[in-house]
Amino acid sequence: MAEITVDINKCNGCGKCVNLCPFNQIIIVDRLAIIEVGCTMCGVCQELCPTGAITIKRERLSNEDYSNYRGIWVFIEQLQGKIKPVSLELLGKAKELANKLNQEIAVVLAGDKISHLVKDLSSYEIHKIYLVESQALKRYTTDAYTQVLVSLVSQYKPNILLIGATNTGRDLAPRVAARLRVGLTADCTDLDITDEGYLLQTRPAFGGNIMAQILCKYTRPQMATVRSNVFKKFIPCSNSQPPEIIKIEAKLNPLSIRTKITSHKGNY
Amino acid sequence: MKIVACIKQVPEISEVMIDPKTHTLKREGVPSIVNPFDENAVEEGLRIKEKYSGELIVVTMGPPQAEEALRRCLAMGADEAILISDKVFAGSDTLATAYTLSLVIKQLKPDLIICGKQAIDGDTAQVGPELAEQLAISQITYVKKVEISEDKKKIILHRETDDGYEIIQCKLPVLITVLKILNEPRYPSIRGILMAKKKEIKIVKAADLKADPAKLGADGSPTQVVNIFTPQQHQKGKIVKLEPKDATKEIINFLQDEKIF
Repeated sequence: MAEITVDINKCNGCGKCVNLCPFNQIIIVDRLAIIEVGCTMCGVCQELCPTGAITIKRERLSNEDYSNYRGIWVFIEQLQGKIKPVSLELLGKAKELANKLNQEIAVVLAGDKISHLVKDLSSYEIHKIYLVESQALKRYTTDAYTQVLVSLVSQYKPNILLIGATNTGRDLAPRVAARLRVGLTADCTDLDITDEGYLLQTRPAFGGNIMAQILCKYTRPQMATVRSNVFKKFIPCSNSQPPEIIKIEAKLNPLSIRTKITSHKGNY
Repeated sequence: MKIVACIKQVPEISEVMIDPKTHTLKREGVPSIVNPFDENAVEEGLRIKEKYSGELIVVTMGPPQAEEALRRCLAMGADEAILISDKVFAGSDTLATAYTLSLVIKQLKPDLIICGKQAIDGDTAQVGPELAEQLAISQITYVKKVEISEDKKKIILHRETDDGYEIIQCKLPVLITVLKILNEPRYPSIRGILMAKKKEIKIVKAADLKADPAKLGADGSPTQVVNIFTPQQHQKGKIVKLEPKDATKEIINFLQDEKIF
């Protein structure tokens, strides 16, 4: 497991780390830094200790080779046959990331009687559309949509999976991440690719007072949710190559959908 | 009914506490509180317990001082409190936290688990769904109204959606995450506070759990914070102090120069 240690020969008790620690987990006792149990191993103190007295040892979660995981995926959220703007905003960012990684963009389009949306998406420079249609996907349920997304990801192994941080997205993404046992970063305000090819996720914490940059080095796909209006809407290109459509049969057992929507009210 | 409410101790002020010189977060002297959304979770647990009879157990994972937050929940009327605390859990991200919570909650066999919508320090809203998944039960997030069927086997919930709300039925057990609008958390009574002081808080350590060590703490956390910085300050706006006629011209020029208009 990861371990944080303070070298008693190097630490001079200057206290710089006490102020740097975002989580207030370092105290100075007898001119020596003591790390308290709430430490999240964020590594800020290690990075900035003037005497290099603090070390965090991390072991890899797994040595599996992740080069089989390729492509940037965007989950297209639709409600009653209309695509949510946040999904289109994500496509713009996905294109940037795809260019940096030289990988394809694919989207997951799930719902009931939504094949007309394929045409709407065809001018967004997408390489593949995984189209999943089923009556059981008419309205969003955690169980049905999680099954669909988890099975697609397991089968086609994307490198990155982006989901809009709507109420639906924030219900779906953590459920999917937990099932896949992969990392997930909520409400990213920026996404980029590091020199090593990892997805660098930037998000606010503590009410926006600090920004944290997060990597998920050892799990795939690298998952992130993004709020609407964070990224600019992608302007479609009329002469883009039409995407390849991959129709997926949704094998949904009604018994596996444990919640029942009895009624709904909204703009639709 | 057996109800579990998951809570988190958080710093009281999540707003501006930046040292203007060093640009680091100042947290000295900031008191800790129960995450406000979690108070709604506890309140709802208490209301259900009072209406349908049962017990409410509050669970938290955190440092030893999180005991204080649990005591407040006991003072509000919770029956039991469990503190999951061990150095091994340090550095847990949402997935590792949810895994650890799931091991403890599984043993309790609750009918209903209530979490706040999100914590005000991390704002991820991920632990609830990740916990439900690892408990292999349904989840309903963003709940604003709760009803239990007479036979206490089903729950009927109003869930806030992006465009309105939906009414959802589900068999128990289930995990729900709740909104502020759901209820008004009660203040602990003096009697409650005194009673809470005497209550024992059960401490759970890593050795008490049949855990896979690879899923705990920083090791079991797929996400890794690699850098923390203070956000760039927004640029100060330009104030035009002229007669209305001249000011209008000035603003139009500005908009044209910036190619906004």
